[in-house]
Amino acid sequence: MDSVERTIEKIKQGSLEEYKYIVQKYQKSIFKYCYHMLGAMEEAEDAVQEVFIKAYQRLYHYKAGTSFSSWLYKIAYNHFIDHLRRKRYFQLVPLCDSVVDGCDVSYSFEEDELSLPLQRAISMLPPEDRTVLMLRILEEKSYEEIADVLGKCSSTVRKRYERARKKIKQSISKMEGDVIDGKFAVNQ
Amino acid sequence: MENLQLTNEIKQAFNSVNLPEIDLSDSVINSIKNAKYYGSKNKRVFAVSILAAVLLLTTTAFVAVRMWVLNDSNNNIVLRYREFDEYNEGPTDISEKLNLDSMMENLEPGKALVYYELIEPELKGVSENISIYPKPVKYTDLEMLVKKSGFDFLIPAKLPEGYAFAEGALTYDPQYLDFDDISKLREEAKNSGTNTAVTECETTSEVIGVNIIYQNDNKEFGVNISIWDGEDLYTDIQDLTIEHMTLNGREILYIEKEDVRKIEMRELLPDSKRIAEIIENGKAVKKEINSYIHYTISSKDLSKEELLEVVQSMIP
Repeated sequence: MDSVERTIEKIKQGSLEEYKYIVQKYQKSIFKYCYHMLGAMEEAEDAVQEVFIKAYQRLYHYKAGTSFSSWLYKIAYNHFIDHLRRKRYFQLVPLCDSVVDGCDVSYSFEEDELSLPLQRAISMLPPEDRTVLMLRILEEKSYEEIADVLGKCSSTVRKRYERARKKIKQSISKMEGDVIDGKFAVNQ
Repeated sequence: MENLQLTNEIKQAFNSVNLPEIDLSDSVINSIKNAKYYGSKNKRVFAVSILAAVLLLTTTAFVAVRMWVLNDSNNNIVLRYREFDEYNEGPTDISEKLNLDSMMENLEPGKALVYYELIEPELKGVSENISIYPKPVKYTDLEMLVKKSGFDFLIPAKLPEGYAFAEGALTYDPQYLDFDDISKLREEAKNSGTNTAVTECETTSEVIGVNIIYQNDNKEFGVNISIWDGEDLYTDIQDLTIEHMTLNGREILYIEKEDVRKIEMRELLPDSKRIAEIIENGKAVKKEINSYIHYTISSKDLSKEELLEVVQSMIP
């Protein structure tokens, strides 16, 4: 049993204050994840708080011996999907060509952050693809761990990962081919 | 080499965002303390005593809109039980287009059926409609069902003579359909000749509905618990006899339609307040909304008095 699991055991037995240690240990990475999913600092900060509260409420579902950070990402991912789902359930989605890959999902990131084509291309990916990229590249999670987060099988995740990279390359090529209005330069 | 370079660039792109240092540990702990969270092993406490109010709103001299409002002890509205209006109609009846019952029968429990429809595709500004039907997972052990549900809800503490738990089911929240999934459905619908497409999707581990059946030989009653967003419940209330009552200090609606008797009641789902985009009078507006645990206790076999006794035993 590692130190995180020992701490979780204490929390389950009623030591709420121990949960501080868990929040402090993982808040930075969850904050980064939420920011890349939501695209706004304040919303991301609120989301982090909600994720940790949800995690606490479901702590008895966490199984010792499995990756706690993956379990936490799973809650964060579901939280974000729930956020999108609620938006979708409340309205009929208008059909337009631009909807297909962007609308509803590509959040308007705070301006300076997305001045580069690569960042812009990442922000245009569907949430699941963005999650796969973040967990694989930034968190260096295995396909199996990511599959567990997303509730998919590992071969699907591997395909998604490859497809996400391909989409990024295509988006960048398209941006480099477009005439840009000076807001962001290409070939930087 | 090119792959490695892209990996490094993506990593750099994710890391290049300058996020401020945060420490949310105190606020998380305080929120947990203030939320009065009750875990599955804790005593269930829903200390909501609801004030009674029945409203009959008349919008014009000719059109009367019937609406029943339930408030909680803080005078917050928890339910507006109201008639359909032009913006909130009943679910589309797709039975003519789709043999839903048979398809659901063949569906694996815990999965969901997705029905997609292009609306007026020949017109500019067309819309699409997506309906998702999750298939519940059955349980024959009540304790297991409660444990698996992941949230606290009220169940009858006392049953009418001869009745016992027969079976229950949990309905799981369908998984979010991403834009690739929807694009595929859209293409399939365009090529179908009927502008419709049907597919299966997975569900998440989040429970959105609980259904419990109690039986006494061939007689039965059901307790349905579901999570609802917002206070409004639009329904067809024509031909209904609705009586507002207060039971153990909690406001309820007793409803009769033909030979079915049922009771509706609600309570706030803890920690569910959030900002969401909703359609109000046909316009999308951002609003603070709550989620509620909605109870429907119904039977053809129990008398009004028996049904009230069951509900009374549920309210702490």
